[in-house]
Amino acid sequence: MCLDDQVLSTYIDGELAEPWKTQVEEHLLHCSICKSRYKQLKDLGNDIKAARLREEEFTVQRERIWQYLEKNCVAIVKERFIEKRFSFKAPVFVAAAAALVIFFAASIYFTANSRGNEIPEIPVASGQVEKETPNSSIVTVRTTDSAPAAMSLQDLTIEEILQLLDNRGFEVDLRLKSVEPLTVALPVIDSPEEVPEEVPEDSVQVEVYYDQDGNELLAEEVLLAEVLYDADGNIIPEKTGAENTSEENPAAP
Amino acid sequence: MEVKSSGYESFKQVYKEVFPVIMRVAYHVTYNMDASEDICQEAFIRFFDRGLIFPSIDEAKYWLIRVTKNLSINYVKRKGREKVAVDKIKKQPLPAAKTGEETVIGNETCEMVRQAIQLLPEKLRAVLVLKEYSDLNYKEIANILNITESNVKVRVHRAKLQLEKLLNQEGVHVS
Repeated sequence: MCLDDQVLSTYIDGELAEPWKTQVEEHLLHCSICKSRYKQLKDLGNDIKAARLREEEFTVQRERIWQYLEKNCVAIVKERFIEKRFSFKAPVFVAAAAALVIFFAASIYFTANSRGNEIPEIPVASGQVEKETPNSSIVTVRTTDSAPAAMSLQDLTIEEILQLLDNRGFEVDLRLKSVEPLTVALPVIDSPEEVPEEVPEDSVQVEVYYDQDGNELLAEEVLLAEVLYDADGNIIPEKTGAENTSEENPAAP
Repeated sequence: MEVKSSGYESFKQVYKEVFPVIMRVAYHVTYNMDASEDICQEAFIRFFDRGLIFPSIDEAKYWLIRVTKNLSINYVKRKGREKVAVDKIKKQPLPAAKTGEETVIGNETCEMVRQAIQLLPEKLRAVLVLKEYSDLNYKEIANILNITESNVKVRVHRAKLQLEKLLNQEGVHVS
């Protein structure tokens, strides 16, 4: 029994399994008809394989497509990488925005604060009045770039500095820190306004005189009156020398 | 070795190893170099864009062959509808320069075979191309085309018989 074309074709394709493969090989050794047909099919197979597109026929396409793919795919890979790295979910964006707002708020706050503490620069040499005078009661005097090179703060005495500040309309409150009194605790003068209030009290006390009934006398009445009394009802012996003789008052009666 | 189709290194390796097969499948189905180039590029772009993971480079190859085969068949069908499929064989690549009478005869046979394959019905053509030009066995072809191995065996043989008939009609002496 001769071999079927299909079997020969499968055998040529190398897909025929044992034991049929060995049987076919044995048959081909003896059957000239089958051997001839086998040769025909084998040659046909070789011709088909010979028509295969050769490597050199698509070298250009191979390179061209790769260049296109590399350009686009590498770009895509990088793009995806960047997206992965820098794309955040909404809450993260919100947090970032909040952080940004806080940052700006803080920067504005500190800038304002630093402005508040900012010391008006007083050009020592020129002596011009600074317009940006703050309401702060503390002023620090320092030399500026506008001062001559030879000039420095050390060249001025404290009196000159105080004078300078006074000329510029500053209300000067000079304080000494870490200075303790030796014997008596002196009242600390917090504001210059307190000082002028005390002065009139002393002067007024001397000028006032009273009559026997304790009524306050006017200036004309004081001159006419023979006997003057003080606030406590004591007799003041001599109306003109009141200040000088006040100490003799208790000895007179 | 796992193959990530979107991974640059994997992609590069797959391209290097699989491109000749893909190109041959596209060309021997369409017999048009420009179309083959477009089809190959499209297949690799799809391969990359899908972001698939294959257990081996062979699996990646089967995927690419399947896509290329389908794209090529679609191209042929479209061209067939336009009734210009057979006549537009002029875009074949120029044969590599060789000397000697033997090679000239060889080239003639080559052209005959290529033209004959174009006359094969689509089903037989795809199987024959995969068998003869993709270095695949029956099992692999069955896997790619989603048909049985015996079906592959039968189709390959039928394709060869039809080719033999066509080549004999055209007076080519198959020796």
